[in-house]
Amino acid sequence: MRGSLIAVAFFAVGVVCGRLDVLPGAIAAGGVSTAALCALMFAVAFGVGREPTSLVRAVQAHPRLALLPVATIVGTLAGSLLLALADPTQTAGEWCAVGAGMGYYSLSSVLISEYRGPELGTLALLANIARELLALLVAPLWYRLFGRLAPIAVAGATSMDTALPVCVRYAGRDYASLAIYHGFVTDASVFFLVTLFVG
Amino acid sequence: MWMLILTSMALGFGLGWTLRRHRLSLDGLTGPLVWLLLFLLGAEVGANDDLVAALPRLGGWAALLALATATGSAVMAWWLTRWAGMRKGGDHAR
Repeated sequence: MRGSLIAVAFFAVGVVCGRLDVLPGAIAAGGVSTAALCALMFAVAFGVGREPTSLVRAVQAHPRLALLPVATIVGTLAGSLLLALADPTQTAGEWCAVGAGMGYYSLSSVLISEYRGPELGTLALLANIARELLALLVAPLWYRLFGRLAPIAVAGATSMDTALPVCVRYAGRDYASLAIYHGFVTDASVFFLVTLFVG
Repeated sequence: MWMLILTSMALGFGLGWTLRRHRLSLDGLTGPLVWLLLFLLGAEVGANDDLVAALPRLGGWAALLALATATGSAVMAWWLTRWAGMRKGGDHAR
């Protein structure tokens, strides 16, 4: 809980700094963000490298776990259809396309803006940033309510990068390779799903 | 970008394997690095005038959709946990 509050505070201070335009240009340009992401990936892979057998342990013990990306996509589309029932001003296909970003906000918002205009693209950007925040900030809650795979499923496409440390913390190091595999598959499916629904 | 990330992971994995008998651990770094990334994401959102202007109109629906899709995925993961023969919460893979 303390970790989640600190994470919320960092995000909120970031928003304020962005609004006030007080950050140096180099930070705002994204170079620091890429460097931090690379350092994060290095640290997580370092931990996995110390226990290389953990790479195959989870799926070896439970081969059906290889279907986790399919479960994530089905759950995501079911959630999107619920919203289509609540707000018929957008079609079910549009809601599914926005939801199918699964946290990959840059690609999904650009694609949807291309296909259906900036309004739906902005909705995709906001919704997928919110999904990444839900994965990073309330992971303990997902773990407690739905078990150790839930933080990986909620993270969607981000389970292989920004949300990977959170996934490893709550699912366990044995599930690091599953989280990376899950991230690759869901990430790759974003383009096809969005195009299928609104292309 | 992807090459950089994959290279970082390969280097981290290789160094971790090489130093696996040492006590060195980088686990303490991951939390602060995630906080830094969240700060930078916040800065990106805050600096985007179009995004901030759209928040009152679209923010509620975006939050609802994120919650619905995250919950749908979590429920399916819970179902898969049971179907795969894992116990909820427990059962570290052997």
